[in-house]
Amino acid sequence: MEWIKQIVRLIVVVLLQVLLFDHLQIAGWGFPMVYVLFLMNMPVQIPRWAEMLIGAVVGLVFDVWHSSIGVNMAACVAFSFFRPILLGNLTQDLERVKGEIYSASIGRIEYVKCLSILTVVHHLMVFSLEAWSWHNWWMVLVQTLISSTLTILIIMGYDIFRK
Amino acid sequence: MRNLLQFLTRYSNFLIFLMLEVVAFILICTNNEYQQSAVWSSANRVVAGVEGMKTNIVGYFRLRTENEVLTAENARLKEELMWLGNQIEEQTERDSSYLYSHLDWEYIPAKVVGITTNKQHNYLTINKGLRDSIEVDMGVVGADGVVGIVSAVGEKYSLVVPIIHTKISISSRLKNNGQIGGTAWDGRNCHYVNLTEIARHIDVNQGDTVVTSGLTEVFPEGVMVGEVYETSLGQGDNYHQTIVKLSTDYKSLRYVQVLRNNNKQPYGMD
Repeated sequence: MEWIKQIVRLIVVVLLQVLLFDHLQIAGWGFPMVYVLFLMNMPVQIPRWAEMLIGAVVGLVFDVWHSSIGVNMAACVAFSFFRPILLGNLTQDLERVKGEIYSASIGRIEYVKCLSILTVVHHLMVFSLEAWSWHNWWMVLVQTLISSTLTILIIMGYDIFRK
Repeated sequence: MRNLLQFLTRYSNFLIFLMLEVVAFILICTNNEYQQSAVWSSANRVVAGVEGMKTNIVGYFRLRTENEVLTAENARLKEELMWLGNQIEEQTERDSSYLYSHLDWEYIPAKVVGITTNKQHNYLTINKGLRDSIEVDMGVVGADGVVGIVSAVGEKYSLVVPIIHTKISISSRLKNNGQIGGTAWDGRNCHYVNLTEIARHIDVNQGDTVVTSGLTEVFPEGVMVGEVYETSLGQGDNYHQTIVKLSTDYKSLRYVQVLRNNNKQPYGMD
């Protein structure tokens, strides 16, 4: 049943991202990429190789949608690779956490820290790979900061709301 | 062998991570035109060929719309021809220099086989290349006005840098008063560019036509760039902040013409 739940969740996240969040452009300076929520909330017990493969598939789904094959994939794989490392370093007693990762399961501050670092890394990779040069590095940084802030705020809003 | 297996087991996650990142980078370099051109610094024949095939297939299903667009363009060109004929008759002397300047240009028709509009460094690929006498730095225009400048040429395809690229600026002038400035894109909306260097004492109004200045050897004088959409002037500003709505809609651009300047001076011969 767990994998059916995850597939349904992925479909909902894809639809929300494509139909709603992709259109929340802040004057061309960025938009929230809330689909990282799917990767962030994945169960902690999942093997790391499987987590990275799921990240690659999720990234590719959005690449196809955004006509930027490989960009989201690279960023999502990095997100999935660093998530267990960060969770292990930032969270005490991670062993006792069962199932999905939320602020209620690992603590709000730890959750925000982990989410923020991973989101910034993910967004920085997406915008850097799209620009493919550091000629306009300040623009990449501004886009990363604006989009990351929006993404984190929306995900935290959801996290509070789901309580 | 055992050590190798131990190494692979120990670092398996990192190796999978590296492998997936390499796959992603290969996908980026083979499927995204801008990154591809940056990597190979030239138009890629295979991708452009596939894009051309895709465009041909899609184009077949759009023939009806294409016909309507071409018919409308034909009608507009006929009107323009009649207007030019009248102008020549009535003002032969005054217009002769302008007319001759346009006769120096040769138009090479081409089809757009690939285009990006959502990046800061946008590119478009056309189905004409070296064998059609296309050269780097030739101007490219569409039915509605300026499109861009050829930046790389392959055997059958060429890469064009459009105005909606943050590293390009095109010399332009306001048609009603002849004031010259530069049009450049700020990387935001693909329908608008900025017109710079128009001094504060010049009268700039919404709806004023902006055309190419003819000061460079890339475009002839008077090719449509767009219309002034918005203009503002702060108290301490010496120049107008002018936004121009581009006449060319890159999202629906299908056919272009590459401009060959037959009077172009070779380098070093001014």
